[in-house]
Amino acid sequence: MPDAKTRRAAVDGWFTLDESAPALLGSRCTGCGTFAFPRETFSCRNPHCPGTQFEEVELSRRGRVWSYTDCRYQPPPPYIAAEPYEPFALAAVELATEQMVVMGQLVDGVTVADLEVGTEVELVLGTLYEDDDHEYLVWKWRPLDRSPAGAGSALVRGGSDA
Amino acid sequence: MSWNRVAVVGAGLIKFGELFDQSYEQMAAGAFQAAVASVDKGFDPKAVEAALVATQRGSLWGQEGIGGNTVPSAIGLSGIPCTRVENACPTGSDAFRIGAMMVASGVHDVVLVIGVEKMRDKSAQEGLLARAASGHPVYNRGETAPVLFAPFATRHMHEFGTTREMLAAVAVKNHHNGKLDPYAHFQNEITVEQVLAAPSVCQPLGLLDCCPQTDGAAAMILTTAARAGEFTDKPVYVAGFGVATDHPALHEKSTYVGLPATTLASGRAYAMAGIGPDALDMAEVHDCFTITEILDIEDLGFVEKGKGGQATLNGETALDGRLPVNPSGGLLAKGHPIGATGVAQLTECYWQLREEAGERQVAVRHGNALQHNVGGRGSGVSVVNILTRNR
Repeated sequence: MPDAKTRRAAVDGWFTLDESAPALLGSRCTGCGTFAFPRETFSCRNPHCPGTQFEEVELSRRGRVWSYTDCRYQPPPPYIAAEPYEPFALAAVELATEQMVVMGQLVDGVTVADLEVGTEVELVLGTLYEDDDHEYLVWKWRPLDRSPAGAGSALVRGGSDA
Repeated sequence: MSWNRVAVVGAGLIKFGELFDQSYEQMAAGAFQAAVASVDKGFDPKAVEAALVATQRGSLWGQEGIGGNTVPSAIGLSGIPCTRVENACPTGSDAFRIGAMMVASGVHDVVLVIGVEKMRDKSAQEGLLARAASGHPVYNRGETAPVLFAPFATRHMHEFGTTREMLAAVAVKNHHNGKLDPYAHFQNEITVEQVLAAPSVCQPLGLLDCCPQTDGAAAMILTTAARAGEFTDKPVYVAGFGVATDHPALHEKSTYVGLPATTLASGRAYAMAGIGPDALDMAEVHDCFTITEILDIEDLGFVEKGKGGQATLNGETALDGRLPVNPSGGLLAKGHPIGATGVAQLTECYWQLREEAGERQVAVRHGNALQHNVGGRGSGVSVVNILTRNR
């Protein structure tokens, strides 16, 4: 059987299919500049902005691990698991420019032992699941190196909004 | 305020656990009978004018479309108005809040709130996990409750130096309390060593950091403060409540070291009650995972942000601590039959304020207790109720 499955996005319009440099597709409010992912189409996520106009933007391809975990048990359907099930790692990655955290799986072979808060990661395309004809792609994070990275990440709107 | 003041005059539970031998309606009826029997001066069930049934996941026993109508029949009150309420993990606590508003409004004088949930009739893979995993085809793929909460633990440990031992201290405390609660699913002590050695579920959370899946039911009888004396000389009053929502997806969160819905809901409840956390004698909070209780006690203002783990390790939230948290054993030991959970927590508050909690009775100095749930996709909804025994 020819090994020529078509590679396609598991969900359309959320990321580019550029194999060498894929990027998440988000939106930026034309009024206040607030980013959103997935793309915002209704009203700006900034509660102080009345904006309703947005432009599509490619988000930063690199970020730093804000937090992480793994999934040691096999999730139920609709998750499609390999046999036997291999636990996978998940990271919430801070994109500095966008002031945003995006969740994603780590590439195969990376475990929580390889991760620290602050680890720099890059966006790549990875396979979420396959059927007879297609390989369905999603974004995954790949660590750039394993040196202890900047612990003092300055994210976001941190703290509780008491 | 033009509302009627609302009083609780009866409350009861059935023993939580794996109740394969009881139907949904039998569980509800058991809780109702316990609540009726608890009323000091006696209670004619026919006095109930309307009921709310709190059930979150009928799908766990094959009745996705369960309405409110089967319960009145099961408790001998067929014909009364009865509505099912659903609001994620705070389903029971929100049913209580809505029941209180029904009385406060003057539409009904006596309202029954029953929380009931069957969690065990389906396996975890077919049941809660499967239901929780539905949603967006990519975003929510494989996203179940421990996956949602574990990154909060990782980040809390990074930012504040919270340790696995501090997380474990929550489970150890709540199991200790559960051992003293005859209604708890688990009634055994556990050790820090056992928590740390348990199989990993989602790093850094292990099996004993997670609440079990439990069947259960709880019921409370609400009436106006003006009529409470017909039923008891020791009513407990509804002092305040608050509900708040937050973005549902993890990537929309403004923080991974707190749950803003809790802060917002409790702020509203404190304002309505006219008290702050310093005036509480105890609290029942949403400890679906050990990290959740640490987030809760910070977000509810019991301790400073970041200090929840150390405070737990220091015993500040133990039965004899500065502010006892989850004297019933919490979700971790007592169990989390979702629709029943909030009503059962409020029942514990009722017993504690009436000083009827036996071996796990806390010292009542101020006369106030707080109950809290947080849940839904991405912990996007929280409900807080505050009860008081002070007139």
